[in-house]
Amino acid sequence: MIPTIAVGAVVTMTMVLGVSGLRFARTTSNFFVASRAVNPVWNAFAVCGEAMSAASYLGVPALILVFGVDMLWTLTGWTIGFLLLSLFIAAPVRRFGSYTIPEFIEGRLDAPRLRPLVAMAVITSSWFFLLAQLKGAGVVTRQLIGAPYWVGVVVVGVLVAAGLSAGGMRGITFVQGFQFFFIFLGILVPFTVLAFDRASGDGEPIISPDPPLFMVDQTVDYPSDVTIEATTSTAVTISGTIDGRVVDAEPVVLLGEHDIALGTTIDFTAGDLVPLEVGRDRLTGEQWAAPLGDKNIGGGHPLYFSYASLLANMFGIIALPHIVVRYYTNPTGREARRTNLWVLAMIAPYYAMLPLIGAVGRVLSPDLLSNGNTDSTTVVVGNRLADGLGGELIDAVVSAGAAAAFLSTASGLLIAIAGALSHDILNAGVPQFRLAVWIGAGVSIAAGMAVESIDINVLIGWSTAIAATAIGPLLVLGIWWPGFTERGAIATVAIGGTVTTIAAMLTLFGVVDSGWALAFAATPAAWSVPLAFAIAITVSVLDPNKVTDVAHKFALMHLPERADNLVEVDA
Amino acid sequence: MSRNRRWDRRALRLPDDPSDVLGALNELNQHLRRGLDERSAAFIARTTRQLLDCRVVAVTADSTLLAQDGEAVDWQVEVEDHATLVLERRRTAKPTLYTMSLGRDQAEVAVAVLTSDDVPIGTIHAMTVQGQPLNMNALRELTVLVGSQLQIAELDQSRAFAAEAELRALRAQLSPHFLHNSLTAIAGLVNTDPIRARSAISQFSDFLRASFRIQSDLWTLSEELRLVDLYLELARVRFGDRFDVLLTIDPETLPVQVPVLSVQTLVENALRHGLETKPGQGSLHLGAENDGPEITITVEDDGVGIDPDRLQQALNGTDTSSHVGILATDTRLRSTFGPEYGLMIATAANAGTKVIMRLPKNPPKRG
Repeated sequence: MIPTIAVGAVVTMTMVLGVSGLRFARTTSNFFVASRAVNPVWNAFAVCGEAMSAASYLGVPALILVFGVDMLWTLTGWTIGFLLLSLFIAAPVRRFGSYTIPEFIEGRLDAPRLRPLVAMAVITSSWFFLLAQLKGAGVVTRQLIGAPYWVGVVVVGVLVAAGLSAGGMRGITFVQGFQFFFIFLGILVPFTVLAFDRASGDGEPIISPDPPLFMVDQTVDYPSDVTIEATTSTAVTISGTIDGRVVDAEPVVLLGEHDIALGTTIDFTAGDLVPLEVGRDRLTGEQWAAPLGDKNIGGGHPLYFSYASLLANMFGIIALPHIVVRYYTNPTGREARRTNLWVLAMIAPYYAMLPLIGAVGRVLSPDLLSNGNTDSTTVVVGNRLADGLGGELIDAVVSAGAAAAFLSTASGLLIAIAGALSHDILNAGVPQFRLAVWIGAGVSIAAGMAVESIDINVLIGWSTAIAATAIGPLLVLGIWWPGFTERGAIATVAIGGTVTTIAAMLTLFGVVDSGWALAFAATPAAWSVPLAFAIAITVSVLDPNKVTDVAHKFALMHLPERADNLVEVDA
Repeated sequence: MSRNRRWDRRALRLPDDPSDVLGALNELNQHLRRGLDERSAAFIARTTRQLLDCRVVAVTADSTLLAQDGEAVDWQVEVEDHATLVLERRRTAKPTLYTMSLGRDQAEVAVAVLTSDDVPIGTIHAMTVQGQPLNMNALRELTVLVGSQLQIAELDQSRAFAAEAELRALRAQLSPHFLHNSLTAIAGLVNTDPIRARSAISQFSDFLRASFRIQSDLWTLSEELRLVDLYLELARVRFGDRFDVLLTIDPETLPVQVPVLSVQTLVENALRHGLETKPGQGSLHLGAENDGPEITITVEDDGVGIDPDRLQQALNGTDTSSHVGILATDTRLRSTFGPEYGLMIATAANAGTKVIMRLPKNPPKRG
């Protein structure tokens, strides 16, 4: 009950603060107060609220639980991404003055026809990211109140769209900054509890050397249809439907593959090996805790996967449209960079705490490997950390953090999608923007209901791969290479966007399902990002139509702003 | 006639697909939008050579060679000399042929004069392929086309000049009216409240300095707000505390580029036409809302309002006595950001006035 109230409170406060337009209490008669820019630290809170999404909050612990330490590359990639953003992207883009990525590219390359093209890449990549947030919403809602998966997707999708079209962008910096605290707290609290627990414990390693097994007697709920595989005979009691047969508290011996229907519960006893969902790797504790090796990662090529994951995530972060626009709120490039420094300082500890949740999940919630619900790892671990009121409170904090994570990011993404659709593609105004919000939300809700069986980080992987391939090179080369041309950019977006989208579709529809083919299609960044850079550079070098007044544009991006201020006294 | 046309076609060597020709002309048009410079001249030369199929084409601005396309012929001196000759004689009506001696060689060269608004501004020289007559009609038509495009470019440029001039005018207009009122008000304070008079004078000087230092057409909303603040401080000297000001500014809107003095003009309008004649206490609300890729600035007063008919007259330009500031702001917004960004005004007699200004976050193209 307490967790539900906590989540309800976060949602309500988000809506109320957003819609009522409480903007830093900026209703004033004091001009000095009203024209004071957003403090870089507070903007950093907002960037963090935007950047800490269901992808990290729910997705990363799930990845760690399932695949082990190889997944730490995801976090490393994101951290490097923020560093790159800080060093190479945030300040120049801010100084150039453009609001969105398509506008920046258009202005930098004098290429109006490029704008809708880049906008399409922005929409595609944001859309996959948004689906991941809605998936998180569905999973958390189901975990919290036992409602079917689609309820959370629809409710959150509609709430976010309603909030935005009712003027919810007004207080967005404030709201997202405020959500950051919930997100951070949601990870900090269980981490602290675990840390104290370990400090006072017997020093036994968390990870046992065995394959995943139940530490205690456990009743496992199956919230969706799955096929599980028991490698040893496991005597259990089942209520529900197994292999199409309806049973009620019947003792059954599991061996081999079994179809378990939604709503079934199975009682396991302590020491039973977890019958994993078919397709999951049965990793021993040692395999789990050691990188590379013989794992079913990247189609059996974990080294390739490591590089691909690193590239996709680092170039993906700089090119995610909802992150870059946040720096527009800073008045100068210097402030943008200062904001980003704070972002790094706050997001690094957050990223550092996440893996522990996933690792503990292997002990506390091995059942998630069986019931296809790994994306709820964070919430389930939070729920099982302690008994009684303490447990409820931890659960409440963790669930509230999850809600804040997907709400803030979903609204940022929906703004990016609707903005790109109405502003960059249709070249229209505010009423069309509101309409675009609802179109974006509608399409995403429909698709969000269909992605129940796709892991959050698979969706994020596609999103970052598209962003890293189609948009990343445009930003990096646009800012740092005077020779970049319109045709180079068009070729990059068209080819990069197409190949990565095709790769995502190939994996989505199961056309490729093993070996190198799967590695290349599921995690394309290791080849697609270098390819995109190569195309961009080759085409630009061959292109006779160079951009005019590049020097002026570079000066605009790279020279510090004039520090002349209206009321300043002349020196 | 039909015979003649067939001959034309062969001489022109038009590509089989007319869309190639149209494409080439469209590309040429785009380049001409910048006016006659080295790059656009290169395009004129290239297009002329392709369409008329000649050996080499040179383009001059006045009599200075800007670009040439085709065979590497060193004929700069000859071209420039002849261009001077042609321009002096003002042979603008149609292209002429002459024979040019280049060392030992003799070559047929057609020369046509480029005009913009009937003023000669340059020439095109086309050297024919030996034994193949040049289509003089086509050259003339091409010259006319280039000329009209250059004229459009000139218009664009003069529009930009006009916008700049408007800014200057606005600044100038701001001053006399406002200077007079402020100084009178301060004069009134000197005896009764010398301390206040002193601070008003320093605010006045701040305001003047701020407006003198305006260099560009755009600055950020937060800079504009500081100017509006100074303006209102001075207005208070005159109005006393007869109006309250309420601000609701989304912080996300502060870095957005707004036309210099645009909000100030709207605020001044609200004071002069709304609150000045209103008996009793009035209030002014200034809001800036974050709307994703755009922002919305509203200036609202609860003053006497404007008679919609008079406003309509002012906006139509039939009544030039009042609301000049609003009209100028409207024109400036449209010319800076595009026709969809005009002002919206909601008003009625005795019902206050609300002016809504929409602006894109992305600044307009820097030219």
